[in-house]
Amino acid sequence: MKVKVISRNPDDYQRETKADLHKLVRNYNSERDAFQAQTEYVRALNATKLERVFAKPFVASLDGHNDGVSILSKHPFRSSTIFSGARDGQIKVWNLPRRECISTIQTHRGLVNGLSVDNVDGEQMVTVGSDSQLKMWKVPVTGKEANLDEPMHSIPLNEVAHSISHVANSTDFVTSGDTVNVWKPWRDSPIRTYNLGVNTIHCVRANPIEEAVMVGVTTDRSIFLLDTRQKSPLKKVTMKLRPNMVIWNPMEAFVFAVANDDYNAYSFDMRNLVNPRRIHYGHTMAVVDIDYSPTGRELCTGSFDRSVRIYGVDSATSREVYHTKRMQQVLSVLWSADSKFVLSGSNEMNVRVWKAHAAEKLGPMTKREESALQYSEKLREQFKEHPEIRRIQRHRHVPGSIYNQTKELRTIREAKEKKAERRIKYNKEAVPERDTHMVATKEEE
Amino acid sequence: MSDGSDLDEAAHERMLQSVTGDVGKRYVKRETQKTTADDLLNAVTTKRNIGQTRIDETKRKQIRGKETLAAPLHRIARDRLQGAVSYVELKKEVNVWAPIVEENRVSDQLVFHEDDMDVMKPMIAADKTAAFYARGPKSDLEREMAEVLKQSKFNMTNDAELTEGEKEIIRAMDLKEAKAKLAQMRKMRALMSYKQANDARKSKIKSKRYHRIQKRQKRRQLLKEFEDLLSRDPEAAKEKLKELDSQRVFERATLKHGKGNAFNKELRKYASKNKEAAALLEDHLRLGRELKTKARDETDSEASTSEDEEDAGTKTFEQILKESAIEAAKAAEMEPEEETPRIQLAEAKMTLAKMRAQKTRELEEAKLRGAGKDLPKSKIFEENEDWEGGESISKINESIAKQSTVETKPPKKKRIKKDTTAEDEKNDLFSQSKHKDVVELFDEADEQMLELAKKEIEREKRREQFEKEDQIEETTRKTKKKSKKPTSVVNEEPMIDPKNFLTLETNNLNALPTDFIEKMDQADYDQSQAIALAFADDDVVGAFEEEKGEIEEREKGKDIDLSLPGWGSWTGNGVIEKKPKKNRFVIKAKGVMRKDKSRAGIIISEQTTQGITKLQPKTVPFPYTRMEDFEAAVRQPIGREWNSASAHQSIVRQSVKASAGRVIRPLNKKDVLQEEFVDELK
Repeated sequence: MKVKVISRNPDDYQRETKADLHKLVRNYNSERDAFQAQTEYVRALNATKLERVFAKPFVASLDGHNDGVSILSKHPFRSSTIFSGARDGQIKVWNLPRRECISTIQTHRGLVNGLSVDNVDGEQMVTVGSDSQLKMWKVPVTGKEANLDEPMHSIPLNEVAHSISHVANSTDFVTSGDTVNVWKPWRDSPIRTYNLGVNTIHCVRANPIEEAVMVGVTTDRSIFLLDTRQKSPLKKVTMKLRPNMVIWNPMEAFVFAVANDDYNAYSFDMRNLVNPRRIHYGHTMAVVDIDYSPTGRELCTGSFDRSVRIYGVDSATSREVYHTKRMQQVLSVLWSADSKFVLSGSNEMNVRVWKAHAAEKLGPMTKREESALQYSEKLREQFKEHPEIRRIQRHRHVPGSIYNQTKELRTIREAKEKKAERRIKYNKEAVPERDTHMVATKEEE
Repeated sequence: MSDGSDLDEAAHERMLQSVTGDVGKRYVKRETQKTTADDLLNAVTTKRNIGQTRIDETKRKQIRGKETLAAPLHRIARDRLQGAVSYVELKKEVNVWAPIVEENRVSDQLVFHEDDMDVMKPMIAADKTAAFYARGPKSDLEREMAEVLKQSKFNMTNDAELTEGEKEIIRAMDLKEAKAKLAQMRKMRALMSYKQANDARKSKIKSKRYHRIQKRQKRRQLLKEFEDLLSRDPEAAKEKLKELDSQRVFERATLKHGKGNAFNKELRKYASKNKEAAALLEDHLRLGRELKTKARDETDSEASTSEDEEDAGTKTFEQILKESAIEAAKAAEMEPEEETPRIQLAEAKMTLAKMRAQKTRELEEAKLRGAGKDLPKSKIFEENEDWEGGESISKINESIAKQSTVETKPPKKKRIKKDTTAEDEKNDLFSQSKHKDVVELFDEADEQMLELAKKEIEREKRREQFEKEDQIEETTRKTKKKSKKPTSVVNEEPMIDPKNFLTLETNNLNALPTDFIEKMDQADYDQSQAIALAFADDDVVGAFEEEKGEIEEREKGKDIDLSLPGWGSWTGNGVIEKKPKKNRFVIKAKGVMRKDKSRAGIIISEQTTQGITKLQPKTVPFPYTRMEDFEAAVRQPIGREWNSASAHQSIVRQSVKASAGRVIRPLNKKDVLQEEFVDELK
């Protein structure tokens, strides 16, 4: 009996060594592939599905705090070092890749309101607390250094400082409370004080690019601009509801974002503060904290609706929403210095680490794998407007509260938009819905 | 400095002079302008126009200045003012970032940590030598070699572009020359490194097949070169021959491709059963034979003999030519001029040229013959015979054949004639065949109509119509006769040209007698009646309506009944069945207005398949304003099947490239703006 076997000559498909170059046979005069679009569409669809399959954003939970984590901060030069502060005045320094706490410092009696690390060599850490103290600490590296518990320097303040931020490329820092003060380290009095009225300034941030520029928010729902070279504040605009937090874009010197009580986040252009540059919708409760990606292309927000959202800087809707069953109100968010992770500190005393891109593969990749992933990403982008792909790409499971609230809010917003539209139609002075989030000042009128 | 001091002094003096002069002048001027109060008071001599004089603007200012100062602004107002001013200033200041920000926003790819790429730099030759020297010589041999190498002036280092020796050479040349030399040297070095890399890569290839192919190629190349050199440079050809000979010697010594070696013995076992093995064996043996034979044996021998008598060089070339000439002559069955012992070079060339011309002519003739163009018997007619076989055609063929045999005209003319004749003939055939067919078809139609007509006639006055009937029959017969004449010539031919068919029909109709046509019209009218009569039992319209109703019913949306039988109702003895409530569990289907509702005799299906539209975007997405643009963008292939590798890579690269674990710092004013500034200067 004749037995037929399939025989293949390895010479036809195998390389002798890795160094051998395969001649890639390619017809440069080939006819147009009639099924190219179809093939790529199917590939895009599959890539989208796979992206959703592999979307496992939750990386780790850093537990150990004994109260809600209200502060998250990163080291300016070490991507692995993360600081978190709880409402009991305790600060923990974490090693992110090893997911372990390097050291725990009881900084203040009562709340710790702010923490910042200097931008020159990253060795001084300054904290402010509700005990009206400003304390300067040595930044722990291994956690085994001596005298980490003792502040290097401590200043009693006349007021409760609510936030602190270091000036770009400097060891100077700025605090805010009833007034805004600019400090030099080791000095007992501020080098400059700005009085902005009777309202508490609950957040001030120094521009990471332009040293002299600051932005802050006050409890009277206003946002103000400061220039440390000038004696008086430059500009103050008021929003309809209270801005909770403000942050500068690290790649765009004149853009900052604001987390607002009206469930939205706003991006502003410093040069035109009449209206926000972009409105980021999506949350269903007050947005408490906000942070930019170090690439300056995206921002993440944490909200009382127990979720974290990620937005493109130019998009109105979120690209991603992160939540878990046990995560309570999010009090603080942070984007890691290498732009790969998002951290959230919440009311139930945990710090959670999420991937910035839910389906991203961590760790080294082969060249082929990398290029395949790049290809599929590009495909997803190219076909993102096709309904089927769009549906899969945007589909997220969210808690019932968020789901229902979102629907309600959408209805409200649509109604508002419709109303505004009609008003514009019959009254030329009417403004669209997106321009109704600011309180018009007299100067503008 | 000492040279410049004189000038400086002179200039300085000049300057001093000018300054002092000016001062003097000014001083003088001021003295003349000095006025007293009396002057002013007495300046006005007349009181005319005194009321109309306007107070000088400067004086007005002086007066105002004497008034009390305005109260300073309130602190808050002042601050606000200051703030507003400095806000404008700040806006201007931060605007320097605008182009950078814009560029980043628009750019396809943001790359952070670009310096990572340094790791991937390949090691160049200079690095290698440096590494070698850094390692230091180890063995004695290496030490000795290093010493020798160190003495060389051409040692490359990473720091300097040129070696000592090269520098010396350049120093000895003038600038232009040196530059040219330098450029050439750079190029050479680059080429060498490419070659080196290529060789290194090739040397690592272990594939036997590759090497086999390579060897074969080399040998072929060698032979080709040899052939080439033979005509150009016989001296070099000799060298080549030696090389070839060495191959031959090697083959003869090893018999690598012979029958006797182990591999071929093994191969022979399978050769009888396996065709491939047989082919391979055959290949081997042939190669062996090829290798063993001397290249250009004859010429070689000739050359060797001639070498004894006269010196090689031009002689060999002549002889080669002579040889080839003689051979060519033999081949053409021409008498070679062997009597002349030495053919001159020019003569040989001439003969060669003649040979070639002869050969080409022969070839052309052969081609023509092959195409059957200049032969008296033309193939077209043979084909026709196969195709037709009719008498007339064969006759025509014969006549044409006669013509062509009699007339010996240049081929071009002939061809034209042939073509025309063939065409004529074809036309003839066509017309005949069509004629016949059309007539048949026509006859059938005629007969049908005639039958109808007959019936009609019979029903009515028979007698009166007898004559006419006869007439009609006669005419039809005539036409039949007419038509049947050519059909007898052409037996059966299925080819029909629809155009001719139609034209013929009309012609024939015209040929019919008028009374017949009248009758036909009558018959035509009655035909519809006849059809109605024939389908009297079938209700066509009704059936259509019925069908339409069915389709309508089928395409109508159906109610969805969600009720569960027995659910919510009692069962058992003594239970009175209630009348079912208005059914709450039925989802009513949407009523759709049909397009064909008010149009009788037509069905428009409402069941349009959604197909691909379901998968397509319904509106043009944001950055695009026109559908065409969006379509063009989406249609652009990005896969590697439809793009070159480099294009594919550049298309699919990430929009943001950042390596994990490395800090991305905010923009640094110093770095970025500095760069920008430098770029601007450029």
